[in-house]
Amino acid sequence: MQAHTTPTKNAELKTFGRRMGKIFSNLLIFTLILCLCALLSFLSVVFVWLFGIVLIILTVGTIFAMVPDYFSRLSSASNVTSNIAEFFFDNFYIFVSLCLVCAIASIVLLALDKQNKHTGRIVLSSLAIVICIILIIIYATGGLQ
Amino acid sequence: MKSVNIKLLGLNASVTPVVKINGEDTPLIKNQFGGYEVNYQTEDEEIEVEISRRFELKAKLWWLFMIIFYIVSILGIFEPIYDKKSIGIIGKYRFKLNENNKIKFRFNPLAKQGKAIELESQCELLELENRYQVDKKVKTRKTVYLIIKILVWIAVAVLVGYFISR
Repeated sequence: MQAHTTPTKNAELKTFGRRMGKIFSNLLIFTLILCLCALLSFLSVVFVWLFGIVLIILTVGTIFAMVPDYFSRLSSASNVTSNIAEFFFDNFYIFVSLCLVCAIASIVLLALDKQNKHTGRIVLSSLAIVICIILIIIYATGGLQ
Repeated sequence: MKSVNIKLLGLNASVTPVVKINGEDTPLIKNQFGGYEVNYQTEDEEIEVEISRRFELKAKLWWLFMIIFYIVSILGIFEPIYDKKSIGIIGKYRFKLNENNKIKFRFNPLAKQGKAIELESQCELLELENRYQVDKKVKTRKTVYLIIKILVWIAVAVLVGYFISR
């Protein structure tokens, strides 16, 4: 059995903490996606080129007749994606630290709530911390560049 | 000394109950099945038990909490959604006590109106109030918050548009 008292001020603060924990948990998903974007945006450049080459093979080269400046279009598309990738690389540490702060804050606030169990959100936050650490290691060792 | 054991059963998970005995907030104990228990001891022959629901939007500093939530959740985008119906519990009973008293409050499913609690007790009792009711104060505050939220969104969109166009 878990005890929890309900004097007004204390209970209000607990409710405040619980909601704040949920907000951090929601923010965590967003910041985690931003972190993963650093990895995925690198893949998107590869994907653009792969898509372009597959299109050439599938059309047996007739794509050059249909779109005369096909290669320049393809390379400009890959330039755009590489610019996006660069943005995520440059700000990687900001995103990852935001993600870690949100994860730790949500774990602490939700663990303090004795009235309801937030197992799912706490597990998610812990998982996010592990992913962040792995991403930091990959980034620091130059695996993303 | 008379002892009273009160159990609250069948409560919706989103509901935070408040139990007042003779006008005072009483510590609740949550059991493993999601129900709540109150153990109370008194010299009185009679007690008055009041049951209600705690709403965040009824807190004294609700406006301050809302501002903080709004800012932290990036203009309310990452904020959990509030319960739309804002149904409050109004339960008030007077019990004549024996030496050992067991009282069970079994809650009906949340509804906009109607009987909220089915009671099981061996005590002599008087039911003063027992109903679900939409809490107008909470609903009004929720609407105010939503309007402010939308107005700020529009203001931010206008400002962003202005700075981009410059």
